[in-house]
Amino acid sequence: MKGILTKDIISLKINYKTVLFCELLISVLSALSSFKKGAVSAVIPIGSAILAEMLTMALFFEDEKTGFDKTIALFPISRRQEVLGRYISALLTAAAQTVIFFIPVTAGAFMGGHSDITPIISAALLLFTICLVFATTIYLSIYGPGAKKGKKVFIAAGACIISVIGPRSVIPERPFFDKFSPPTDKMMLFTVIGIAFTAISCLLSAAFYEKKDI
Amino acid sequence: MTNAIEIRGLVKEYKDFRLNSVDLTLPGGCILGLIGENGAGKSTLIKCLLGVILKNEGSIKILGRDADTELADIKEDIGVVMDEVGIPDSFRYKHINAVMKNTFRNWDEKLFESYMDKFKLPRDKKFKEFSRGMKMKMGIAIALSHNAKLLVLDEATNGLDPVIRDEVTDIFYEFTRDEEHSILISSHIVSDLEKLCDYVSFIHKGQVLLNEEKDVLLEEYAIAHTTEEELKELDPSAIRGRKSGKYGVQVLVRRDAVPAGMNLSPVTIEELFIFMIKEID
Repeated sequence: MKGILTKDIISLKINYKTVLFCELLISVLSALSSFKKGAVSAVIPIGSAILAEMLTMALFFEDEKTGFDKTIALFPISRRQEVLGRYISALLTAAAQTVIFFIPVTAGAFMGGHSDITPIISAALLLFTICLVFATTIYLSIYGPGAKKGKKVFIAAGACIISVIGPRSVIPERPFFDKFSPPTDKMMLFTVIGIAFTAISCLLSAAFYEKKDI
Repeated sequence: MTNAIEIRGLVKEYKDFRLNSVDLTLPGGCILGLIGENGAGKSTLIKCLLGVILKNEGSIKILGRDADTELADIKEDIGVVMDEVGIPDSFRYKHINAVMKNTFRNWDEKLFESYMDKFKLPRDKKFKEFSRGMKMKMGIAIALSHNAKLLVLDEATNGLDPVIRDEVTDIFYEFTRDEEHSILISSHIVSDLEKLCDYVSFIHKGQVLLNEEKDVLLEEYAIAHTTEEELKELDPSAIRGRKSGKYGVQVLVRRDAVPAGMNLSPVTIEELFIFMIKEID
């Protein structure tokens, strides 16, 4: 499992510097917004989540393209551990993305004299949950029965849409570009559901993958 | 000594192909050549052995341990090189080393470094910039650098030039100098395996035709150069294959079953294989 995570971290460092730079840029711009308003618009966490989703997808499809997925099959790990490694990688990407968003935005809010950071916490939870739901949906469809190679791009696109629409549906009526502050308790519940969905998806993916030819 | 590989009654079914109740044994400390034409089932057998594809029936033991329950642990002791080496394109030596160090408990960095030097592989080039020969050498270096007891090579030397194939063959010989080390190597280039192997196994259309010591086979069989009339006098059970030509008939025979004084010439493993396949088909 550690080998898979090491490979993902190295790949991120080598291949995705541009994406990581874009994320930092978005964080800085978000910090300016929170400095001014004490919150950010819904576009920011959703846009950041989509960037993270692209990274998760890119790392997985890179393995297929280079044949590294077949190399992993020869590693001294069980199939369950292989699947768990993927989910942990997705969880770490989501957590890292959330931290990259949360720290500058919170710092910006405090520097702007806004002491109430519950809107920022809500936005961070939204971002984290979107990342998790995306990874969960895509991995479940990839490891599950019947997923053929050619369909995976469409599955990824579908997962992207579901992961954004799902959380957006719990956000109360509010102009999209206004400062984002849904009830934090609602977002926390949504995050807990997202984590539970991820755990179930991981177990199901492992169960499907054990019965498949690679 | 424990057998390195023991396969009994292995069955794997696809829509249009079936690996049919395969039995295979690789004694410890030996090299087994798995010979078969394209599509015979060599890769299918190896993938079942490594758990890459799931068998329908049968039992597999590797290094004396049950592959059904302990395969993840057993893979610590298996070095594998397939026909394509799957490494991310942008990775260099140091990245590959970092990944393998965190994958194999017994990963030996110094040994990996020594194979990089031995194979003259560049440390600062990306993997995608390697030639096919260099990629295979990298795959072999990785397989040999975690103190594996069993090497499994699936068409690993195909497409390599003769110089590199010769280099690599020497390394495999060296590997089996330790009696605890064994190799299973598959190829359709029989001449490569003939030099290297202690045991050979012929596979054809999903069926293992024989699994025998190479020297015993070469002692047991010969080619008789004869005519159609003389052929009729031979005991049919002595004949394992025949080829008719302009100048008579060539027959693959068991030496101990033909009359003394018959014109016999030594057989190569390649000829043995071709005769047997033609006889079946």
